[in-house]
Amino acid sequence: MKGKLPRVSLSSKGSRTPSTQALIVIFISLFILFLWLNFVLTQQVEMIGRDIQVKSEELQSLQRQGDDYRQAISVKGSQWNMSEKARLLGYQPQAPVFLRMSEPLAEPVSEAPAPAGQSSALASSEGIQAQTASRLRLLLTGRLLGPEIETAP
Amino acid sequence: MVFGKGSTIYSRRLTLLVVCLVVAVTVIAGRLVYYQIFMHDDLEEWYHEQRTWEKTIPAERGDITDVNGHLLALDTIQWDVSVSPPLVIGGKDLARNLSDILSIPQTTVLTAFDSDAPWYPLAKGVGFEVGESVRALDAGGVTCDPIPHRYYPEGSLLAHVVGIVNTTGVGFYGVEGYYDQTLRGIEGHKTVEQGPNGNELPLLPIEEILSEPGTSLVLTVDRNIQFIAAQELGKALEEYKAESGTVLILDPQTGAILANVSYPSFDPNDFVHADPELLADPAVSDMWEPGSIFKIITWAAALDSGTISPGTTFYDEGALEVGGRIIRNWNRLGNGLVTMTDGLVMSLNTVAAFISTSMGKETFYTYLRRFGFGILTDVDLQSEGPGMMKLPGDSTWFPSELGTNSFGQGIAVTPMQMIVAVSAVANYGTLMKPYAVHELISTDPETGEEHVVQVQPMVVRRAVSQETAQTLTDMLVEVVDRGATLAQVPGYRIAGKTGTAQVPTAYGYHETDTIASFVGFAPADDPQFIVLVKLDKPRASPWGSQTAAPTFRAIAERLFAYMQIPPDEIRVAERP
Repeated sequence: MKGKLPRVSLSSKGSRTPSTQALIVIFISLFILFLWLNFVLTQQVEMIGRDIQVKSEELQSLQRQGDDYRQAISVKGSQWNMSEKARLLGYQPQAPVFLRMSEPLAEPVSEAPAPAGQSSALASSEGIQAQTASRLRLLLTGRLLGPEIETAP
Repeated sequence: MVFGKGSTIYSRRLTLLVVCLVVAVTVIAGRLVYYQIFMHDDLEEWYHEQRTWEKTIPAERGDITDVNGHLLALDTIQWDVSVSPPLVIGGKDLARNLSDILSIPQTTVLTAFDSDAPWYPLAKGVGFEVGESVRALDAGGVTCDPIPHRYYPEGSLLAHVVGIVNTTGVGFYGVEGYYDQTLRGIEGHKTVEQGPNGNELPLLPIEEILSEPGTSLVLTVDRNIQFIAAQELGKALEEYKAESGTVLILDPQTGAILANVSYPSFDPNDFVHADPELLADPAVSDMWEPGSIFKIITWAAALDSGTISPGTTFYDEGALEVGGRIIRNWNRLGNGLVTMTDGLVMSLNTVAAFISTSMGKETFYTYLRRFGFGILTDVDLQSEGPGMMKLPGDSTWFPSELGTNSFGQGIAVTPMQMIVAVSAVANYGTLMKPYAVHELISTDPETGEEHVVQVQPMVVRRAVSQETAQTLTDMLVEVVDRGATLAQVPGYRIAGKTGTAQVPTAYGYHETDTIASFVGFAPADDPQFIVLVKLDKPRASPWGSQTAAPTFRAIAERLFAYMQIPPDEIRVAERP
């Protein structure tokens, strides 16, 4: 026994050490997989890039269309065009009619009486509106006509 | 083993081959070292030049709108369509399509296709739809280049206020010139990779800096008031057979320009075909001897310095000698004993000369400077001139100038200077800086947030006291009531003054040509607008009182209605 070591096997019974061929196959497979992934990613990047280009062109085209519409609208609404249209429709500049009042249409807010049971701010605001509307109705129906009203020349 | 002669030759050849290989490898290695190490930077740069393409992203120029938001200037795209004949694919079919889209004869397109030139223009400045249709053809050899174009929807109506932008995108005249850098914005840059045939590769850009759009301007000008002024000026030129004219309307309390019209004008959309002399705004760049409307300034100075009061009297003999020169009234008649108010109502040159000489040159010219004559008003419109005012001590100034300057002769002013000076009287003695831009609106390119900067009215200085301004206003009301009656608008108190200036020539003043003017503000007690009307060489009548004054009235009548200013009787009664 002396001088001779017993043989020791590191691999358990039944397990196999991958052969060189298998390693090569695995390496080539991984390489192909890597190439494929690279191809797919490149394709994706290119497609997205192309998509961005197309969308950018569409956006620019839309912006140009928007500018074109703005231009068309501004031309249609230009002063000379509008005045010509107004003339053709028979519109004429009219001087405003000014009404001279013997007293103001509405009292100042601070002086308006508040109806009972309502908060003063709300009441005064509504009261003024009602008074104003009432006076305007009288004016427009002619019941306040007379020395109080005068029209501008 | 014994080698023969052949083996010696073989050995030598082998040695030679090895030497050659070593040399070749050394040369290759040397070249590699040279390219990889010594030429590395240059080659890398060359690579980038070949493979990358730096594109400029143009910045959109800011819009210009009137005070109510109506567009006065905007950026649009026009297309230049051209072909590269050697690269054209498609022949007759393409020619027919292009002919239909561009509305040009098919033979023209075919001539372009058959041309030997490397590049042949087919159409310039075509609109959006046409350009997009050509682009949609996606035809080889056909190029459709977008060209930024400034468009002015109102045409000639606001030509002088707005100005122009030339083909290289630089603004000139008006606010386009004055605010050019502000309106332009900042160009962006994009670096992309390009293919061997020069087309952009569909990859994300290497570097991209977005452009920043220019700041938009909101003017103080009201398009409707501008239209009123333009219409009435046009009518006046026709009725009084005047060569040219200017109407300026300001808010005297702020200095805001409400309208600025000069005729003849030009179409800013086609300025290349306009007379270059028409491009500058006459309201700020042209100067003229103002004549009698300048008496307002003389009277203001004299009242403020205490030299005169409205009741001060002067015996008018029809002529007065100042500095060796005889000054006469417009009708060469004497009027006897007159008050200073009478002198202004009758527009007497002798009274004006009496006032200025009584004041003395130092006081008189100090007041002219206070009113802003001889210096720029600093209005935000390009091409403003300072006018021309000679001062005592200048080699060209003579003592007689003290007399002639008092009634607006021998001094040259711009319409803007004149109206700003009279505005000071309307504004209770305070001189305001005139301005044409009400708001500047910039947009953050990343967030889209708008930043608005509102321009505030700016006081330049006090020209005269409030009391002086009110006294003079009353005198100017009397001028309209008793003198310039054609400027009256029933129901309103109007303060104003007419002017009829002779036209200077190289040999003295022209015998018949005049420049008729009127400056007035209303309502006199609370001025809402001031109008300057200037008509050059009216043939129907030379007098400002018969030409410019009725033009003022026509404008004022419409302004009262448009601005909804009640007649004095109603308006004053409304006050607490």
